[in-house]
Amino acid sequence: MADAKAKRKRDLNKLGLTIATPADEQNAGKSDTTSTTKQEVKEQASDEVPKKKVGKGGSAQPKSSAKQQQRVSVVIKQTAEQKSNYDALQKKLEELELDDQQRKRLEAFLTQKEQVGELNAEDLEKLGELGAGNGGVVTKVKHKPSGLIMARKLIHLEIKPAIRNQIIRELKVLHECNSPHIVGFYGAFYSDGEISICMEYMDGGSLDLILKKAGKIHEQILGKISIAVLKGLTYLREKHQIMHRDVKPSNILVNSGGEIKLCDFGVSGQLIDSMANSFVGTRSYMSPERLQGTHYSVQSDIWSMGLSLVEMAVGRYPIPPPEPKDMAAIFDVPPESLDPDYAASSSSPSQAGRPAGRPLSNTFNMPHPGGDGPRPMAIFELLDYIVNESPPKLPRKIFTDKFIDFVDKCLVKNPAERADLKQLMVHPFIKRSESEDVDFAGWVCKTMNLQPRTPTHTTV
Amino acid sequence: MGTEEREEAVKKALESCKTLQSMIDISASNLNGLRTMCETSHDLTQTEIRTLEGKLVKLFSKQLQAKNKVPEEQRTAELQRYPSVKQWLEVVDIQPVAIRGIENKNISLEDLLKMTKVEIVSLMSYYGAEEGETIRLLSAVNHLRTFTELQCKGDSTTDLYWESWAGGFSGSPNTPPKRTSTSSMPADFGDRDPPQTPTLRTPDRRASDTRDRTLYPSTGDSETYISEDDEEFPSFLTNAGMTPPSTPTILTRRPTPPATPPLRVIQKGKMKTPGTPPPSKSNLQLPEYQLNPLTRSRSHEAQLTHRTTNKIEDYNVLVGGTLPKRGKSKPSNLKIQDSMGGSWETGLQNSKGVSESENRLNTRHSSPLTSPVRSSSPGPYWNNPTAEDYTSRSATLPVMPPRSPGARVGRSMGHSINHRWVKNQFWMTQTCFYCNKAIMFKGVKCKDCKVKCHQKCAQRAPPSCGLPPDLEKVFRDTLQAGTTNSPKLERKPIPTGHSPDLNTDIHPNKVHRTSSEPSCAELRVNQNQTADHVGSVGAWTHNSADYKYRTWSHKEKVRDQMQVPPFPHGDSSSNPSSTTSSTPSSPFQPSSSDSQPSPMTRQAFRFPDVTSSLSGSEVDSQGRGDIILDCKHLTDTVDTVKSEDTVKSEESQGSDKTEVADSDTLKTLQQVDSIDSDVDPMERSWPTRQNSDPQEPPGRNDWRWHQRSSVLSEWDIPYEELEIQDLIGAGRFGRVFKGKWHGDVAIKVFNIETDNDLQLASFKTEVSMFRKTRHENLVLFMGACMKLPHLAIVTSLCKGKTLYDTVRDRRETLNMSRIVNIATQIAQGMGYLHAREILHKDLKSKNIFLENGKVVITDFGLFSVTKLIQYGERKDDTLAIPPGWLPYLAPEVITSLRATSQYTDSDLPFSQASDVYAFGTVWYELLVGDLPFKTQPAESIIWQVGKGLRQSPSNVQSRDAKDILMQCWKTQPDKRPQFSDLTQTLDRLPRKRLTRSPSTPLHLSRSAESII
Repeated sequence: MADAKAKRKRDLNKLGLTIATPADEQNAGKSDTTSTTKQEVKEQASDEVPKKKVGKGGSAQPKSSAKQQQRVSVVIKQTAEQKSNYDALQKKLEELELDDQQRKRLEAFLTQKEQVGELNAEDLEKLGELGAGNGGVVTKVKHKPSGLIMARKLIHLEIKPAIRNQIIRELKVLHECNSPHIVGFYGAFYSDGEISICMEYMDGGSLDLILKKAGKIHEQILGKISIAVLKGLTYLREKHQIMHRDVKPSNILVNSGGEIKLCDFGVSGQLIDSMANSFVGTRSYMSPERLQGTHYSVQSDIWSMGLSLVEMAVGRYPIPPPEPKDMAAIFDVPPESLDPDYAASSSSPSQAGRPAGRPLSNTFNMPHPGGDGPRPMAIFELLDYIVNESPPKLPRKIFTDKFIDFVDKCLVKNPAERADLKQLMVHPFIKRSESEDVDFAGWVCKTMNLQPRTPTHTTV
Repeated sequence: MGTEEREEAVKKALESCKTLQSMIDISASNLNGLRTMCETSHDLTQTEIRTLEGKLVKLFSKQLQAKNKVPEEQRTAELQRYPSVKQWLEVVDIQPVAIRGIENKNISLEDLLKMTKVEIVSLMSYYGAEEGETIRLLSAVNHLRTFTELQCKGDSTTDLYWESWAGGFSGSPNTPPKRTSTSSMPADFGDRDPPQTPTLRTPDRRASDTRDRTLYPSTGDSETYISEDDEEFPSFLTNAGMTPPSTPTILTRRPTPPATPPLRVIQKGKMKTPGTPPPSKSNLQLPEYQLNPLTRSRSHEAQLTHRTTNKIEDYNVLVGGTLPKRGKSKPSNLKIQDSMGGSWETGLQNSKGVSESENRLNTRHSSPLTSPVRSSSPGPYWNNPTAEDYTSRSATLPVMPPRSPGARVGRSMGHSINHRWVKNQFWMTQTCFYCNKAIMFKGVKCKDCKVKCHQKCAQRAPPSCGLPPDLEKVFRDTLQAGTTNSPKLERKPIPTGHSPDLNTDIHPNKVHRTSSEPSCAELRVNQNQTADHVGSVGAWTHNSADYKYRTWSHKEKVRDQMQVPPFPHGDSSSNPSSTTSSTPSSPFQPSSSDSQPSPMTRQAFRFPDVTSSLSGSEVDSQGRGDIILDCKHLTDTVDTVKSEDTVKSEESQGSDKTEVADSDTLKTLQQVDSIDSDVDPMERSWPTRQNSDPQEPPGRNDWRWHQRSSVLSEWDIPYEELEIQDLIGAGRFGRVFKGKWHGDVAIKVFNIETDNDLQLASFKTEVSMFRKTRHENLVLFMGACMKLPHLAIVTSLCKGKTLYDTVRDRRETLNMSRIVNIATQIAQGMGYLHAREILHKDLKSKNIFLENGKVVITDFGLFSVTKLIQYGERKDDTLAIPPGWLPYLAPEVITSLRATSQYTDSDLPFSQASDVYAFGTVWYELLVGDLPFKTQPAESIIWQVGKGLRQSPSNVQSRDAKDILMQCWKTQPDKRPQFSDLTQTLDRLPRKRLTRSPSTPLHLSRSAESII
């Protein structure tokens, strides 16, 4: 059983084979005999590194020819394994419990992906810019050989080859992340000082851009989003034993087909470590326990999700919480109609945790509806607020109780008391949202001015 | 045993088993959760798992014990069920198949314990368990057995865990999660439950094992020392002192065989006993500080008495207790400090920094003392012969650290130097020095002070050539006042060393003037004097002579040249020798000038404290005031000037003070500048000029800027001369190349937006600062290329490895003596920088090179430039944090970080104390082998450090080493030591005996030699 699993994984790996170094090939062969947990793969990867150092000392020259040889052998292998891949794929998809539409889409994606083969920089033609995120720039590209439209994330990294290869290796795990709630992965490679990660192109973009356009997002839409996020997180945890670590609106992508997918999760530890910079800003979605440096787990992702939901519901980053009158302005209701609890809690934050001489109220303005948020506080103040003050709340009269309760359960500061994935999946809000019929695709298209179409068409 | 008793016993046992069972349940489910839900390759998770496993072992063992209290025959069926084998096996993470099998065989936990290894192995293989599981079970059972045995003996062990995740149990050593830390940070803090705090492993290379070090970033847990308020300090000290030697750590880390090596005691009660009672240990610190003066300071006798009488206060100081009188004495010292220490350009700006160091000074000196005592004991903290000399001469004033050369001991002087305007074409839009508007292309520039302005403005410019901006301001004010009342320039009291009744000017600044000034009016020096008491600035009357002098800041080499142009004023009893390196002690008296009223009444800036008895003061015929310019006599004047720079140097400091004694010594102007061009006489008064805020960062309008410009020309390297070779590094600022320019050099090329004036200005400021740095532990600045678009700094090439690489190189042996040696050199270099009033702002191990054992610090002062230029394209609401930057940032800096991509110097509160904090992190790195908070995300670090949480270097045994770390990492900046203190503290650290081997280069142990 273990062997079969390994073989299947290897096959899927080969689907998107990118840089195949001689050592990689050996590694692939070795993986048969050992157990297949992801940790082992990583262990091997890390074992490889010292070996690589030794072996690759003077191999600059023969590299190119070796690479070419690799490509040839890869092609051969690919054709030989096409059939077995298909079987393996089918089996994997079985496990995911997809409905028809999802299954079809996923199969289509995987089929398209097979056409891609090994990715390299020359095959990609830049079509436009999609944005900039943590440490990287995302561009829309066209894979010329296959005609596929992809999103390419470029991360500039000046690092040693050994580390770089390790990152590529770790990223290969993404090949196995196939889920309707996870952004598809075509491949990753290194060229010219930059690591490229090629992903499925999501024409709706990320939710933070949508939020900017839409101002705020309705509860029903948020319901669908919550379901998708929960399912995505569950998938990552159950099938890959990883947590996301960076749930936030800009890492939730949507498309005109109505799909909602997570991206940018922490699959490569080495990549995270090597990143040239970390970016902190006026918003932090990090859970209190993570900020404090204490033990954290997937519960941390749930906090991030809850915070993102509140932000999307209200239209602005919810920390520090808006004054009741501002909240009322956002929703166009008289302030008195808001929950008295909300009014009380938000207008008198405790003074206890204030940094000396810098009362919180001085450091931020009240936002205008749909605006950018308060004036930047010192980062430390923001983080301290998250750790010490009470978590944000949704105004009662505007949203349904179920939604408010859902969010409240996510935004519990103590991770042990916070709801976990299982509990949230059966939460009344989720159950209700699942049964609701929401034209999510239509909403996306309307908000972003897109033409409704199925995601399998590759148009420019 | 009676039935009742038996029942009682059984009941009790049952109850305890039940309680333990519930605890086991909770822990087991946690463990399960950890194993499944978390990425078990994560350090956090692993250590957490280990903790839980250890806990479970203990719980199971306790159950066993409880059960065993009841003799076998009397155990009820229920009791027999505890502990549950099934649960045990689940906890050990055995396959369900095997579990069921074992259950079916009715093997109880006790049976398992009794089985031999072989039996267990065969049992497991019977059920098809994997090798890993077998090993796990073996290990777990061993632990359980051992623990139980030890429990019976009343002892307790530490590491009772096994690797229960994939990746094997290959004997990889693990740190006992909390135990190491708790042993070193015991008792007072130790009442929190260890497992709650996660621990991190660092890839360390110290101590034989890679994972010896544990990081404790917990929130308020005992393991991280919380240095938020200093009350923690003593206990940390003491507890640190109780740390048992490191060997147990090493031993305990191996997968524990049944025969356990000496185990570290974890029982909290026990931890207290090995140590000595806290207070005495801390007190023992003091004698060390006391002893130092014996070997070092010249006036150590006084210091000794000082020390002993103030032992308690000192202790309080060291311990961070409150100094009763500190507050009181602060203000006065503050003033003194500033006047002494602050140069014109930096004093006002850095008064804060100065006062901080002043506070430090005070704390060290235990300021409850009166000043005489204080002055007589500059203390071991000042390793500063000049200061000591200084103070030995005067018994009344406290010693000041060597401050900037610009420290003006204000006396009133007049200033009346015309500019020498030369037509100039500017390659960049400049701002007029006087009207503050833009100069398009053509303008004029003063050859001496480099002021740039419009032609028209130049004509109206006052003869303020060489004046620092604040005086310039006063200049204008006086002009505006148009009265005979001269303004009082509020200067801070003159520092020490001068007897209070000196009536002379003690102007530390050298003034020099270019020699020929053809049509200058004569110089008049004021006669009257204000009563110059120490520290006060006298008002000048319009009879006061114009004193012509000029601060000279940029030709250090000329400093020593005593070109003394003939001094026309015969009365002057100039003493060239005494005035060599010091400030003019009194205004000179241009006697010949007396006869010559200036043909044109000029404006001359009169300095507040003009004391000489010079004749001939004129009132500006324009009625604007008393400023008279007498350029003509510049050529004839002789004055001794001292460069600002030289004040910094310790020798000059001393001599500076000596010459103070010559009350009638005329200041002699010195011709130092070799520029011999003429200057058009400028005569008109100058109308109001916009306020120049002395606190502003030097912009182009700044007087200092112009000073610097002349410097820059001196150090300018034409880009064509540079041969740029290989890229050797890239950082936030640009790239560093190896190159050739009269030898091997390092060329740091900047990517700067050419149109960003502020950046360019900062660049130039920084570059001009470099010329002041000459120290063996600082990289040698050789020049700069400032021709846009090529902006480059040329320094000598550092050949060795960075400290960053050295520390992380496993092949390098960094023993304590080497560490101390390196740290000492760093402290020396940094002390020099601080003495020159230069802040590094970016001290880190990547900026420290080790050339054959010698430390070379680079990249100092570049922070503003580098930070300014990075990430222009970043969105404005994010801040890019380079990796490895945050751990070096002091808490006051970290809490000031804002989410904006643009930073200027004034945005982040860098200070000498923040440099010391960074040094603390480097020290940590040396000791531990990696940065603190290594695995934490940026936001977490920001929060924790801002809250006062620090990493505890748990594997470091040396109490002194930890002490240094704590001192440098104090939350309050003014409580951190200065580098001069650190040098001495480091010297006192015990080192291993083999500090030198015959093959070690001599300079490696130079600092070591100094104590031998």
